[in-house]
Amino acid sequence: MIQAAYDVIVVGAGPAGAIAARKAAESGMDTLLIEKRLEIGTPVRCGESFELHTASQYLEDIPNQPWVNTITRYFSIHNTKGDCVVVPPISPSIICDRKIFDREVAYTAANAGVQVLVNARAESLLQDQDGAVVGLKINCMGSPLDVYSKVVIAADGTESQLARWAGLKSIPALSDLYVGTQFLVSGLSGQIRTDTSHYYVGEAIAPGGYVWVFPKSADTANIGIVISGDRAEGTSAQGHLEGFLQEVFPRARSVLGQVTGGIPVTGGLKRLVTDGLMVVGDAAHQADPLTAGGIVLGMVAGDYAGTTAAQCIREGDVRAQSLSRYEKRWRERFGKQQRSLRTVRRMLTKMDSDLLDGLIRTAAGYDMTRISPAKAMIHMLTKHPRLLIEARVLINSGLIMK
Amino acid sequence: MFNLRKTTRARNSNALLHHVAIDQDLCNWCGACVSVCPPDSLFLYEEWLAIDHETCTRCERCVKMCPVHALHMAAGSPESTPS
Repeated sequence: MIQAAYDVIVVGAGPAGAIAARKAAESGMDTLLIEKRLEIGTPVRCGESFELHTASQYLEDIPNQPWVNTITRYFSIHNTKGDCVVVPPISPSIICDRKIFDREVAYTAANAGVQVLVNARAESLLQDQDGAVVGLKINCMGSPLDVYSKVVIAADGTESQLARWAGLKSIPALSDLYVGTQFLVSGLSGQIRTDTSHYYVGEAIAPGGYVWVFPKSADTANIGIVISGDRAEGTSAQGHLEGFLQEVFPRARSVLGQVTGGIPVTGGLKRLVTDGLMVVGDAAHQADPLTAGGIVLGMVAGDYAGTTAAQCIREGDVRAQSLSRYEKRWRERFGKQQRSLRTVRRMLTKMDSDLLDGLIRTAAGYDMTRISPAKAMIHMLTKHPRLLIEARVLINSGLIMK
Repeated sequence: MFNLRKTTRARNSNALLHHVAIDQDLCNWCGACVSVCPPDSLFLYEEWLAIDHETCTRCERCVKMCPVHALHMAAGSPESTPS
């Protein structure tokens, strides 16, 4: 079933890997996409929300897909005192079922000519005498074999082995990691809005992180928490989440599913390519450093990596220098944004919880459809002068223009 | 005076009387610990988490990171805690 050689091998059939494989195949490359699990999409390790606008470039007719649970058009941000700001988002968010979603995205790859195989695990890299990656030792459905390729794309998630073997992986500081868990909770009728993604912030709720409530239906929601890795020593993420549920949704007693995990939120690995190998998605730390969302960022990275791999193979040069066009393109689009969001997270992590509560309380009084951002900012600063000291970091990072 | 090299070796050996213990009942096999382990001493096999005590440096990053507190530092040599 499996060939001895391909143009491109992609490891990991999440959204980043599937899009990378699809783009390579669409550019005429003989492509293999392998997934170590028996089933694509399981186990789910995700809040299952992504932004519609960018995702629409990769998937057709999203709102009518079977994996869409709800579409939220508003964000609401809550503090520990019960105040709440409702922000209309720039683009609607999709709350999806990742089990079906991942398989559907992988299907679009198969449909584009990619050979997709589950129960196939990358055991180690095959390298030439100069250390360039020329293929993989794969254990496919129980049989070990060497498979050669011109380019390997590593999309093997947060615990990526390939990035580590290739010497690209760095171990992030605990403050650059989110630790999280999520419950799929039922019994929420009348307590949540299906058109809103709810966020709860504050030291007492989630130290250095936040709690989200993403409605899956009128009665069920993904309720999850991330806390900063350097604050995870006392109460566990799960302990904080249980406390939150008891306090905010005491009537919701059933948990229909649980997800746990750690998410690196460094903004991206320092190097994304080496000779014959590229890293995309969570394996490359390409999650939003503030929210930890990574589906769309992963798909864009997959697009750039798959397309670049095809170009480089056609030109006959798959050395790091040539493959780094992917890295350059990714950084041009997201580099600054990733750095800024990381700075914002660090600022919020350090911010005094009374100030954070106060900011949300003040903002809760604004008519968001009428007030201009500049006016809101000035009013905010007069009410909370301490914000000036905190906002210095943002001005320095270039997020707020001087 | 301290012999630094000796101290480092002691940290890496089983002779030191504490080690990372895994509570397989609590573990959800999410791999959060695997992604933060500097010497790559943790291994996740679908529904089983294993640790290589020989290479583990007892840095405790995995213990701090675990979302469900399934890892803890235990007294004694690794053989004293079945995992």
